[in-house]
Amino acid sequence: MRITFDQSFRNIESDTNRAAEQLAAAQRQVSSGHRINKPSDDPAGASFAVTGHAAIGALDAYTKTADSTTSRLTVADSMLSDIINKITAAQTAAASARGSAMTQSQRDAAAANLQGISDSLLDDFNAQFHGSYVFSGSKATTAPYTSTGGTVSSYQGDATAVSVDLGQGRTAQIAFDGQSIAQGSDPADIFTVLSNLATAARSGDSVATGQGLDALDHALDRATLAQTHVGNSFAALDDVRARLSTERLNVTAQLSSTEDVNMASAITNMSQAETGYRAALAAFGRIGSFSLMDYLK
Amino acid sequence: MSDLMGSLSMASHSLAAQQAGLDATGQNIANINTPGYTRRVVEFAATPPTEQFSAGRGVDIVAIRAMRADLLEAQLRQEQPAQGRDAAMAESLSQVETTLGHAGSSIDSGLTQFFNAFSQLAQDPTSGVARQQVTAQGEALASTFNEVAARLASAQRDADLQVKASVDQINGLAAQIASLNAAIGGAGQSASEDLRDRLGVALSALSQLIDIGVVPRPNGGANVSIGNGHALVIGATTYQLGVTARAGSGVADLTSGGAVITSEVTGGRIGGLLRVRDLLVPDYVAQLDQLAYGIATSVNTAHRAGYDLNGSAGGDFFTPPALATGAASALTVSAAVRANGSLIAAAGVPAAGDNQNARAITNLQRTALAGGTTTPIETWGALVYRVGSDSQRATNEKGGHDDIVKQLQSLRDQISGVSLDEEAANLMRFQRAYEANARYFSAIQTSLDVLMAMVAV
Repeated sequence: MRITFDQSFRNIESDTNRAAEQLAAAQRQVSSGHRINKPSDDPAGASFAVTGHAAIGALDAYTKTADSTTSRLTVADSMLSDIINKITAAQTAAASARGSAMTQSQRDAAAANLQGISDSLLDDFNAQFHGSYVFSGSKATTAPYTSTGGTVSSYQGDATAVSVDLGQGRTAQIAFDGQSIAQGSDPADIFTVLSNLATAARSGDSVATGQGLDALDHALDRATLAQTHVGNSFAALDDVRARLSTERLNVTAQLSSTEDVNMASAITNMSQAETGYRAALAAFGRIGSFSLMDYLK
Repeated sequence: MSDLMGSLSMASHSLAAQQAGLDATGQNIANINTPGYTRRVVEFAATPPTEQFSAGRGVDIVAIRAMRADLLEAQLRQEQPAQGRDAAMAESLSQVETTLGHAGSSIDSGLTQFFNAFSQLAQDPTSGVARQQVTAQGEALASTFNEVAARLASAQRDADLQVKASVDQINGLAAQIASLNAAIGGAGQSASEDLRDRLGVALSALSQLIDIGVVPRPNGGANVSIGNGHALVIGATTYQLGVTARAGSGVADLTSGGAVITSEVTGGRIGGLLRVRDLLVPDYVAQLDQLAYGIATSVNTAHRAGYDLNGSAGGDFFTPPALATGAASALTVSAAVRANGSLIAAAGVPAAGDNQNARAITNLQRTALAGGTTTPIETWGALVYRVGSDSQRATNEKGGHDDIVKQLQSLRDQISGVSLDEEAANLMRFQRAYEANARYFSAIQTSLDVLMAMVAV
């Protein structure tokens, strides 16, 4: 085989080029920390990375939803606790007004107490979170109950339970039907019950007081049940958050193994490429440094 | 029997012959870096004797031959168009790739953030901030689509400009080949070898630009055709490659003798550029348009099914695209929604606090797009995969063709190239032969002197 001048330079040039390209690619991997710097580095990996990033984005959205749902449910929970306390206080007040030993002034005091409880219950039912009513169903901008001249309106919200998604197929309720707590299947809502109880207490009507106490029992049951639901939701939220974070870890790990370089092997590759490049350069320097011409006299 | 004067003239003839050998070696070394130069070899032949009992009349130069490897040159001209095509494609596609951006910072993140904004809105459907966020993310998504579409269009325009530049180069080379053809016809043999070297360089450069058919002319020139046998150069005449604007898109179509031959050109740099411009990029644009159209249509359909903050039925969220074609570059959030965030239909029933529609729109990211079978992210991932694998394939194929071309060049160089060792050996060989012939000359001269001395006595 004849080795010609042009050929040896062309070969060494393209070999050096190739070695330089390999070194540049290895350096880029090490410096960027990414295995995929453009889709053609690994088309399937790049496409997987797209879905992986989207999955993480969606999981983060669920986590955000879970966090805000927790804040909202905390408000609902504390309002329900308050409602339960108030109903218990109303039961005590109404029961204390019963009996023939009570003086009129004592009965009046009990009636006033019941009226005060009714007013603060109204505040509890009209609780808001970031400007939307929690116990008004989907009518977030409408107060569930309003009071005009001491008379509380009927339920202004609706029965729609507003929920948010916490994952595919997993939801949590964030707005509640106030009427199902205040009235349920009873003929009158709690405000009417309290108002009637106050009247009964004032007049010492023990039959009406007995009926009112029964209705308060029902109301207490409904509020306790609602709070149990909220409590369950809290537990579920913790579970959801744990699952979301595990899922996120998994996806991140998969994504990292697709997108990121294994530093140890990347650095090894880089020093290998560097050695190759040095050798190619050294060969370039030596090519044509001697030939038969050197021996002509 | 030859006489001494005859011997003297034979010696001078031989000296001249060795001198020619030295000259050829000098020429080879001088042109060691000249592109397309083929090694020259002097062919000697013994001059036959003119009379009985004579060894001969010395040496004749039969020819100064250029060591051409015509077959390998022809093979190179067949391989180079593929190399040129893949190189142009790899170059253009690596530019197209960058238009897609990195995973997690392009249309994919735009989509995720857009749907996440709806998920935020579902948490607080009456919040003005959440509504503003949805509008802002919708606009960001739309403008990302607009940008990617614009970048793809600019990659297409770039390829078009390069096609036009390549046509100029092709015509320049064609003119050069025609004038070389003319010169070769009129030149003597030695001069024509140099012209043929230059013709070889021009043909090789041309074959990198476009796939050509070369028919050698009897005198050493070449006729060149392109496409399905359209003449480019016949003898000294050039039939220039023309450019005409294509109706509609306005991109450059190639013409030869008035006929459009764009579809016939598949090889060379121009073939690669045409493939990128007419086939690959339009395909990517179509996929992007389909994605934009699908999102706009799916979101609009869902949005219209809901109710806005005022309890009225929802309108279109995006300005509805009439066709998939051009949807990506025209995607915008509808002016009404942009002006008034309360028109975003988050509710499934006419109640301000309801969020069923916002949830439904959020869940669109997990359902197949209108007119497709894949989710928005999957559709985008498929486009990324498509562009990446096209670019990767072009780069790999370019590497393969580079190796083939290099191999063929090496084979050709083994025949045509200049080797310094060989030239050094030849230098020594002709130098020694020259010295020996000079000695022979001086021996004859001494003999003549002896003869002349006899005459003087």
